[in-house]
Amino acid sequence: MSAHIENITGRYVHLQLEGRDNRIFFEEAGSGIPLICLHTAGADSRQYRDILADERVTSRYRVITFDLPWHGRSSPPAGWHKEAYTLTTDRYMQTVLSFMEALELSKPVVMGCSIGGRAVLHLMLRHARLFRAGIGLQSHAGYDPLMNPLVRDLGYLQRPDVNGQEAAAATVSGLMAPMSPEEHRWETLWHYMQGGPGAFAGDLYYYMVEGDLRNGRVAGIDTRVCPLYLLTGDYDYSATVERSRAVVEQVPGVKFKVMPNLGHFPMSENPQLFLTHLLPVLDEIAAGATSH
Amino acid sequence: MIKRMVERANSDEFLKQRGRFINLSFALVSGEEDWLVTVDGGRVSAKALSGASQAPAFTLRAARSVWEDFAKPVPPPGTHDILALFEGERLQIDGDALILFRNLLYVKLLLEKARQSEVNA
Repeated sequence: MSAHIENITGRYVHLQLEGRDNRIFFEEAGSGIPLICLHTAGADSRQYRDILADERVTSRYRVITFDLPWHGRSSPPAGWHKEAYTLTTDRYMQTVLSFMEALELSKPVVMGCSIGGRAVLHLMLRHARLFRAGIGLQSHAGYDPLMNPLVRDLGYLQRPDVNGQEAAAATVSGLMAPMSPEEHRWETLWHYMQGGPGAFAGDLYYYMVEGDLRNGRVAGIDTRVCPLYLLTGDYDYSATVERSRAVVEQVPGVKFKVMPNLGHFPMSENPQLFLTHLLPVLDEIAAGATSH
Repeated sequence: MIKRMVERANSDEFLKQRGRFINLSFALVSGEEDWLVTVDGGRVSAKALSGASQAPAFTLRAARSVWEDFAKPVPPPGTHDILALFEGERLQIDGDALILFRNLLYVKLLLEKARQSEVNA
């Protein structure tokens, strides 16, 4: 009997971020065009498990995904116990660029979901020339959730009289499509249940506040410099189709597709359905790479 | 919808186990109808809110048509979850929201029992 061992390799790379050593966990599989995958708020790189395992992707792409500091197996830097974690645009950009530099990745494709989808927009604004293409999943410029006052005033994601693990999972459970396979929905929730205290809320600061792009700046994205694809699942009530479309309307040349029956975590909640949308995009990017 | 939810919740051993430390009463309002849903150590019951001696910790209030969409086997986007309904301004949350969020995962699992046939069950 031969065991099922996946062709995914996990390692650590040390990044110096804001003058501090960060031990960053990353996984990779495949060879070819580098494809960096960015996870959602409060979760980790396991969300891309089935993309890393799909030969239709890994036969042409070197798929690489890392856990942000404070997430998954990337422990917070020393001294974390004396500070409150917050993710900012500068921190996020610095982390992605430092990771690319450390792994000597040349002109990768960057794909990110939710906060990662926002990061793709920021990367396209600030560093488009460094990338071959951007793929934003559940990308939008920002909105003012009615939930915000509840999250802020109750602080229910991190207070001693609430189980933060279950509260985080319950907060995101309805962002998924109800028809997504049960095993994948619950694996997605498990990742949230494993998040460190304060990590999810710290990421939401970038998603809801500091990284808000409803300032007209997305219009500065130039898709002639770097092609941009947006894919949005229609069951997501946070990163809605309408909010993604608002970005599309401001950025000429964006290629946008609605993904029916998917929610906020397409690559994790229903990987096989998501791949039917992702593979044509990867085909197109690879064809462009050949023709250039 | 409420009868179905209560029956299914009380025959689901996993949900009963999950609720074994939960003692909670909340109101569910559907148009003109309202119920007081009580969870007592995982055992669920429901009765008319009017005349009930116990006050609900919080109230989930929506139009009857909204709950009907919620209870469909495949609910349309935006009607499939109470927070989705809240964000879409189709469901109102009154009362002690902290108690709702303290029990949010359980309450969501409980309300899914109201669905006509559970998706992927």
